[in-house]
Amino acid sequence: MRHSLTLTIGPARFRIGSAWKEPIARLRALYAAYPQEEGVADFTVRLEPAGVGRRWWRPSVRIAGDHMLPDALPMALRHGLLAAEMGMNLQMALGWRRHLLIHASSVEKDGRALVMTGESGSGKSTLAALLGERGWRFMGDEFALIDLADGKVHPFPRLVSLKNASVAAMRVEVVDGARFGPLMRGTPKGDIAHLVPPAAATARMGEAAAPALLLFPRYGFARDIRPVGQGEAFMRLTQASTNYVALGEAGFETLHRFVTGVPALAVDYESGEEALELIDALWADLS
Amino acid sequence: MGEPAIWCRCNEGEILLRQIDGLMLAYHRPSGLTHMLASPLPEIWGALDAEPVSAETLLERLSAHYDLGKNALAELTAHLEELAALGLIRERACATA
Amino acid sequence: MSESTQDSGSSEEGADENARIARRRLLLGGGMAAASAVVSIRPALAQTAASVLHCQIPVPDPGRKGQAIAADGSVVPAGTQGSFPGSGRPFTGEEVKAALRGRNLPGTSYEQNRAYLNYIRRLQGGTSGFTCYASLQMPR
Repeated sequence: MRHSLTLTIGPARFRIGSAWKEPIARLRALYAAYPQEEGVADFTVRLEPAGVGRRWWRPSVRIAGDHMLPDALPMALRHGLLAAEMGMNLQMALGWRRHLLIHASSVEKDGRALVMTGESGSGKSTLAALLGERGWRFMGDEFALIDLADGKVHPFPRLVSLKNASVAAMRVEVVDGARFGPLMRGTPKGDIAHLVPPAAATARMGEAAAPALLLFPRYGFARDIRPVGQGEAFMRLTQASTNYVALGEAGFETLHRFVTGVPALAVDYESGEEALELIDALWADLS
Repeated sequence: MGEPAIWCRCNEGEILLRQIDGLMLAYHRPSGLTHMLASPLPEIWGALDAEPVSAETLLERLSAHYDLGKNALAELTAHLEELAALGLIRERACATA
Repeated sequence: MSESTQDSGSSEEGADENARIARRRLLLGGGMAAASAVVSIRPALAQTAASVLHCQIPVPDPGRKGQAIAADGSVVPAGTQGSFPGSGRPFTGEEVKAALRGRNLPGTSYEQNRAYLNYIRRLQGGTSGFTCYASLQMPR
């Protein structure tokens, strides 16, 4: 392709190609702290014109790569950065086999990881970003990679994808404006801005941590904490994993080890501050 | 045809079992499927072994540990058929040891 | 492989123990027509499946504790005419399953039972109890 970039995030290396210059330039700048040397990539992502002439006329991006979804709709070029991120996520979700991949955010403190999983809107991404600014090591806002041999959580600290109200919330938290990508309005996922994770997240992205607590956060409900049984946690995590079935026996063993070794709680909260306070208290109770 | 069904647990190499809370997790290697088994299936599984037995014999074994109601045999047979359909136990066709 | 034998062995011993402590419980023949006790995990289950038969369904959701249930199952302010206060304790999956087959939820009147079941049928993903209700719907 005309423009390209090789990028390493955690254990995965991506080669991203684009028919346009701008998305690659944006990625190169926002991922400046990540290894960008050339090498054999695990996955390729291509941003292609969605049809004849669509490179210039109402430029429209089709996300292509090693793994593709048949029904994915093309996106506007002004959302090219999001398209590249979605392309990388898609490769991980459909193609990664070296770890059990769980749709979850994770942060680390004292060598132990807190894993948060939930549907879109649960706040798992924003909470991980907030904790990353408040003394925890940010490990990832989208995928937690569980080691098949020892059960540890490996970081996948790509850019944080902030949606809607979270953008303003994080602008209060992070004073360095250079850590924010452009605000993309009206994308298929709402208004999106990317946030560059703290320096420690990238510097230590090869460092795994043993999971100590699993939370199922839910934003917008009155404060409540409920235990989640191992059976329910197992079932919910199979549904939050993109490769549980593909991994076969290794996935079964890894998930069983996870749910029997890690306490699980459902947490309802109405504000970020309330959630941080709850998490601090729960974390203190662990030790 | 017409003979009473007998059941056994003789394909254990095909199944990986783990306990969580009160449930039994079973990974069935040939199909790659995971099943979560709730009571009474773990108890029924526990009462079976590699020796094929009839549902009546199995019911007797279970009655040593549990109370059984009047429809117990019909229910037990339905559960055995369900376990066999998942490949977790075998009906009759056990390989000779 | 050897572990699978161990596991099942110990569950049998556990059963023996239980029997000695005279905690005999009704295992089979309770007239529940051999309800399926298996949930199989399949990739296509995404986000709907859940917690087998040990799950529970609060009425209403803890996030709306203190509110009442109208006859059509909607959640309304406490004291609304014709509504019922929420249940004091969550119902178990088994109780709901039995109620869906025609038995009353424990401790409820006829109308109250109908209102609660309407509430449960209207549960949406992300609401407490939804995954439990979804698991009761699954054919296996």
